[in-house]
Amino acid sequence: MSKIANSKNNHIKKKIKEIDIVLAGQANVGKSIIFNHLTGLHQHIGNWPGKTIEKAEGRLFYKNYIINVVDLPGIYSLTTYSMEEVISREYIATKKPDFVINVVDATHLERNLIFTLQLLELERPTVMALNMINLLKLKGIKINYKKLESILGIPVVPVAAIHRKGIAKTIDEGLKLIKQKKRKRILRFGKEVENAISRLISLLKHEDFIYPKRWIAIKLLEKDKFVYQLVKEKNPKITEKAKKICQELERIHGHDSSLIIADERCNLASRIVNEVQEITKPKKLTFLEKFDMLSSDKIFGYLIMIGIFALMFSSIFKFGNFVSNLLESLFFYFQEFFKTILGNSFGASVVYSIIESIFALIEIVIPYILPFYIILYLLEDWGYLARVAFLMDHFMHKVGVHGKACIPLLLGFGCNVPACLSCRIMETERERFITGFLTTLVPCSAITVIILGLVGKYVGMLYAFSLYLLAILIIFVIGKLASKIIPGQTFELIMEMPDYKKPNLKTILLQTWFRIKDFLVIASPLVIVSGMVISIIHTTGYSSKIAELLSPIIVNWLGLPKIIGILLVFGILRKELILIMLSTLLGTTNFSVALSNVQMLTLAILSMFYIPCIATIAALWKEFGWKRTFVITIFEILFAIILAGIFSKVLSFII
Amino acid sequence: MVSMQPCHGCDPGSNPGHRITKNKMVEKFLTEMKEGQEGNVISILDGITTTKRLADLGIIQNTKIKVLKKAPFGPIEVIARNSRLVIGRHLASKILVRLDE
Repeated sequence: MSKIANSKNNHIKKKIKEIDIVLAGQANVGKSIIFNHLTGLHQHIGNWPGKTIEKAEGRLFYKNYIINVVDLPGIYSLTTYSMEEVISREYIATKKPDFVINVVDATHLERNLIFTLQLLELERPTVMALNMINLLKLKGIKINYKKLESILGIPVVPVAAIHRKGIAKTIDEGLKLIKQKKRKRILRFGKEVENAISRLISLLKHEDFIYPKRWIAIKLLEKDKFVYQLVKEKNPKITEKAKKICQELERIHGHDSSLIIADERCNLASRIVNEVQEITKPKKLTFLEKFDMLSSDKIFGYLIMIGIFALMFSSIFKFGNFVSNLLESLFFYFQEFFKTILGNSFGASVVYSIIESIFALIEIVIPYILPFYIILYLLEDWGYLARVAFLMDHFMHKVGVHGKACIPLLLGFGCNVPACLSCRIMETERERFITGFLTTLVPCSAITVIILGLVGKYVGMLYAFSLYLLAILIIFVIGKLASKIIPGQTFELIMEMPDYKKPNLKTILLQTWFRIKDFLVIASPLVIVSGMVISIIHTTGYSSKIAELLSPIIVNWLGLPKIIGILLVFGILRKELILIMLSTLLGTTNFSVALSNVQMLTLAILSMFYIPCIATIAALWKEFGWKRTFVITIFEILFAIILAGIFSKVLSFII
Repeated sequence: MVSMQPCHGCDPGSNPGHRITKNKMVEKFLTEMKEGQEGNVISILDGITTTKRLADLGIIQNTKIKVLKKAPFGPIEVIARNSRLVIGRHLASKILVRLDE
């Protein structure tokens, strides 16, 4: 913001006040653009305590105020349907932010108002940022802002976030609200419902709650389990009476009382919209709208999707390969350089392993994760991901997740790390976890090296291809099982189909930057420490002891040579090391001399699943916490050993 | 846990296919509608959670709804209250709509 810094000189004269505000709104309303305009680089993206749901916080200095901004998740309502909704509503109700900015998509006012009405029930000072007013003319919509303001009883600021218009004014209006402390207007429902609400409020008169009384009354009518329990603990007589009031209301309306409230809100929203909005027929279809029609078409939709994916993946892999080769040759000189100064002592090899781990990390982040993130956010910001969800929902439902999951899974073929990180596009925590788990089973490009370089070259391409089919089959089966075992329902897909929007470069770059920073914070210590440990094991000669230790599994159960045990330890760092080290240890690149066909297949199956590589473990950790990461890792180790063992026994009969 | 009351003499769910009421109005589930067809939601034959969920997005009884796109075997894109929504096929098969003439 431009007016940020002027407080610096004044702060001696005037006291600087610190306030908390939140951004609340539905998905795709431009909340994150506003958040990024407000906070710029002064932001932190973490998780809500104990949850894997992202929490974006930032800070802004404005007119003698230090303003802490929290960007709540984009949600469609404030009921307790999903974790995101619980978090949002509890945050607003209990943390009592100084004011709430309700970001609203002006082109979809009616649906957005339903959320606004729920938000206003929480009775915090609220400003409406009516975003996307720049698109109104194009869509033939006219909104009377002043009238909307007077009906809702809150300031309404027209905003065009993409052009940075109206954002400062929104904050100004919010600051005014803090000073005024004026009584909130209450939007009334129908007569019978209001009657029930006021009876409930009078029942609650003598109890003390952190939540507004009217809100509790409405929630009791909505049969909200959380609020019901809360009131029951204070005074069970009230909930008994509340039940009766609900029944009376149901008798009048002939519906469940929770639906009556939902209906009332819808009707209220549509009455308000009728008052303030005027729609004239929009102009004829623009190019983008024609593309919009095509991109979710039965035939063209899939063709366009394949085209976009092909373009996306090939450009990322081309770019990735190019950059990673470039980096590798650059690092080669560094390596030589370090080798000559460090010499050959024990300490030197430890220092050297640290340098190598840092290089390895850079070689994943710059060529692969960076472009993945940028393109992913570009597609999301543009609105294309919703089309993918629409087109792929049927297929992905078979694995127990929604259509969007096909993106992380496809990304996984390139590199599991960005695939895992991209799972945040999934809507619920449960789906995020299932998808994240499945991505670690996708054979990434490093495993492709093993499959093609070992099986493809020496056993036959048909076998290599079958291994891919095996991986897909396993992902399918495990996905099915996971969605059965992991608690929680699979909810039916209900989402908004956003219009295509011009992506905002600043938002995309900021989001990419903060996510990469976050990833590095977790990944770098993990990669460096494990690299160090493995190098110490190797230089002290413990690796043969480890091979000895693993030999019951490697030799007896899997029927592989003992040295494979060492390779698997190194493979934790980077899976392509398995093949590279194999040739060094064997002293030849002709693997067929040392390994039989069955052994090669067994080794390939083992390498595919035996553990996510250390960078993927870091990504899992960032997204799902260490406990779940640990469970996934242990599961995959056991799973791979059992699977590869069974295959080696079965294959030795067949081949 | 279906809480919806059948309305105006129609008995939703008892006979599949087209339901024709006394006024000769055609009623179809959302999944049976063709792209471009329009109508009013009569009822949602599912539990309260789902019904409330749809209400949060503005789909309640009497809401005007139009089918925009149907993904093969997949979800259905509709327009309601001037905004576009995607509804999973299974859920869409529980939304009964009275078609416009």
